[in-house]
Amino acid sequence: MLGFNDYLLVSVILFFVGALGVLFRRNLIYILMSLELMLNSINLTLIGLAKYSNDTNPQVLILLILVVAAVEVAVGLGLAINLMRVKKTVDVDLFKSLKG
Amino acid sequence: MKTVFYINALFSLIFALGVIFGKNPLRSALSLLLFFLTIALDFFFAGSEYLGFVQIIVYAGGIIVMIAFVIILLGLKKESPDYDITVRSFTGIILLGFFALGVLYGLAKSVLHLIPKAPYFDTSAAGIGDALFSKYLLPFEVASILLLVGVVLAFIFAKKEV
Amino acid sequence: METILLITLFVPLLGAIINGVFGSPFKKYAHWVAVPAIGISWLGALYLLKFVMAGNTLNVNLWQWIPVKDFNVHFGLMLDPLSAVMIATVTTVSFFIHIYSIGYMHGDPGYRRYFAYLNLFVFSMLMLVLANNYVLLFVGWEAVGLCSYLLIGFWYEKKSASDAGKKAFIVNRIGDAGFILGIFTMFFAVGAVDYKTVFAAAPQLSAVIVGSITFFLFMGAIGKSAQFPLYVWLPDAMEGPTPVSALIHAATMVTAGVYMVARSSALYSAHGSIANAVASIGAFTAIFAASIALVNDDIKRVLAYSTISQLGYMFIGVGVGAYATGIFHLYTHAFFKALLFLTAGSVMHALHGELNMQKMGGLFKKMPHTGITFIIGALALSGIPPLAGFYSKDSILKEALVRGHTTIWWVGTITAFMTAFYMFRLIFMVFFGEPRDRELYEHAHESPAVMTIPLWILAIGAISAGWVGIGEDASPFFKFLAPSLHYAEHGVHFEPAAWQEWLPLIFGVAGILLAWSMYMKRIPSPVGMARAFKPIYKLLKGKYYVDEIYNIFIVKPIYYLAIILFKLVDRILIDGTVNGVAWVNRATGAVLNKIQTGAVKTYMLWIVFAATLIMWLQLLK
Repeated sequence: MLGFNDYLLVSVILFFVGALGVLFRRNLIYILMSLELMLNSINLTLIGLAKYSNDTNPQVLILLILVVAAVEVAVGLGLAINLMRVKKTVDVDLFKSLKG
Repeated sequence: MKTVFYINALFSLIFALGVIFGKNPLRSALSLLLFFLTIALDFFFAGSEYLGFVQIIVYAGGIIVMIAFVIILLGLKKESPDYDITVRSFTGIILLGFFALGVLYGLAKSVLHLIPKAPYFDTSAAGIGDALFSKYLLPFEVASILLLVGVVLAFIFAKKEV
Repeated sequence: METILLITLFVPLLGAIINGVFGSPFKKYAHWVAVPAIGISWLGALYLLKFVMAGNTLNVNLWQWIPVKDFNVHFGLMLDPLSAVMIATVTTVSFFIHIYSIGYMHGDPGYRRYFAYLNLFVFSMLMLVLANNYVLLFVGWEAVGLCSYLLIGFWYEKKSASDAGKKAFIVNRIGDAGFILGIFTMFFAVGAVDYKTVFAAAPQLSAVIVGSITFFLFMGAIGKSAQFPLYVWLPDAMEGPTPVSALIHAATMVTAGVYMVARSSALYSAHGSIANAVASIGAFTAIFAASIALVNDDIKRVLAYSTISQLGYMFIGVGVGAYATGIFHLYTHAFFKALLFLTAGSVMHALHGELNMQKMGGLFKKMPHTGITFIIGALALSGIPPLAGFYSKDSILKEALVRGHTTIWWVGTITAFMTAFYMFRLIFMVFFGEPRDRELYEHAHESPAVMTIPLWILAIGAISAGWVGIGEDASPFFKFLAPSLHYAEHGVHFEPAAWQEWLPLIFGVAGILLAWSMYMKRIPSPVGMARAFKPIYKLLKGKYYVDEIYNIFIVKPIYYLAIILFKLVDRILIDGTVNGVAWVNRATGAVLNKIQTGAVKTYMLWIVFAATLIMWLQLLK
């Protein structure tokens, strides 16, 4: 019998994979894609929640996450283009000027 | 049902790993597209066709195209994977392991008891729209402002002279 | 009618705001805002006076200002005969001073600022006299103090001027502290601060309570109306532009104390001893200031001391319980003192700011308008009939005598002699005789019409203002005021003899004659007199060394106390605490600074760490 716990398990694993990507890759494009993985794993949790608690609200939340993801990618990619133009690289470990 | 779900989940996992371990950025992007499609399938399984289609349209149709464009624009070539093999990353993996362990421990203890809230489960576009324009009007408007800000920011970042 | 009351009160404020906040585009035309504003207010005040003369009064609470449990203060205005007389006097005199200022301040870099302050000053005074409770009166009371500070220090780049402004403000503050205590005591005893309730409750209060209320309120009046011992700021206030001095002395500030005592007549009548103190201080101040004026050589300072002295008369009037005579003198004094200051300003204007009378002389030929109007003002001040000052001063002295204050009467009469003497000494030194400084004399010229016309109008006022009060209690002025004032029963009723009625006038004429013989004929010569009475002369010349005494006994100790407090408490205790806090912050910052590496991924690591921690804490709870 498929339950909420299955959804949760899968989304935790996917979230883990996404976070791994963010931590282990240095290319900004890869990091952005890994972030998308993480956001989608959350979507998976939410749809499970919606299904098993008979609730419409999580679906609205999914839509809002969609919006956030879209904006994040748009801004992040704009940033990537800009960085490439100015610094000739998208390696995030080389950008350390924002420190105290 | 369970079997189908887990087969789909296995595909999701494979594609996700394909994204993060890919050498060619464009291939990783295609892998991401397939991953999005598997998630959309999950939405269909859960009975929420509307969200499934939105997922396909927005992610596959919008975000992936955008990422692909940028990859081509920047001319990112196939390269040896730029893995970040440092103490920091391994600390991160250990922490993430603890995190995942926590979730699994929680699942084992069944901490989460779900209580059905509504008498029926409205997955139609109309039902979601109803919620969006009544109860969630403010978040909806905030999201629209966020989109607007995103548009302006992306425009500013991508402009030639910054 | 409320609308007209509000227009009368608030149009000057509007003018001040327009000039002060938005006025920069029409710098040179600031008077086109300020003068019409006062003009409208003046017409409104006259209309209100007519309205009150028809037997009406107004008492409106516009809105609740401070509602705190039992303590209720309304923004309430009251229009009764007393306040009607006050607003009419204030706006009339102010209006002509405003017109005069157009000529006097012409070309000053602070022209716009000047008119903004002037309007604000008039507004504050109107607020003071129109309030229907003590707290709102106090607002106006403080506001005139503020405006006087701003205007005395108007030429702030001059150190003496800004010092004089500060002095006025600080000395007033001493009195105002007393005034606040008075309001507190009043609230403590009566539970309200509006006139109606307080006056109604006054007869039932114990002598100690009424005594302390009136004492504290009078402290405020001493400061504001420049009575001994807090008069020291007024002579220094001459550092401001001359029309401002006219405004302060005639209309908008120093009269506030007299008005306040008259307004509180119910309180002062309820308990006699403080009222007697008021009269005594008034009498002492009158003769004290007049004696300083006898030898002073600064044309404006002589007038300043004469104001202090005349305010002393007013306090004699309100102190002996004849409130109407005090207000009557206030009203006539407004005209001739404004006139005297404006003519003095005209003389200064002609002589490029020269104030020393020893350098003047013979100016009558050069400036006939100024000269004649000055003589009219001086005659009025000296109490020569039929000019305004005669009736008001006479009625004060007579009332003092009728109520049995013979000593005060003598003091007042001698002061009348001194007043006439120093005023005509001034006239003979400035306008007649041989010019002492040829160069100044050659450059002297009559002032423009915008300045002389207000002089003539005020001169007409100085001549005729007293006529409404002929016959005292039977006169229209006194009858009109009567409903606003509460008179005490006075047991003594002394019928003055004929010589006592005429003595002040005789003394006044004698003062003029003595001044004429000393300064025109040199018999006896002023230098010889100074030599003959050298100790007295030196004492008067040094203004009784009051400023020096204050300096040694009050200013210096406070100064050293302040230094000690600064070195010990401020430097070590407070600065130590503040610096300590800053140090702790900086040290923490230095530690936390290390965490902020600029590497985004490290931040992400911290986020994961925190999320994991929180999750496990939740799970293991």
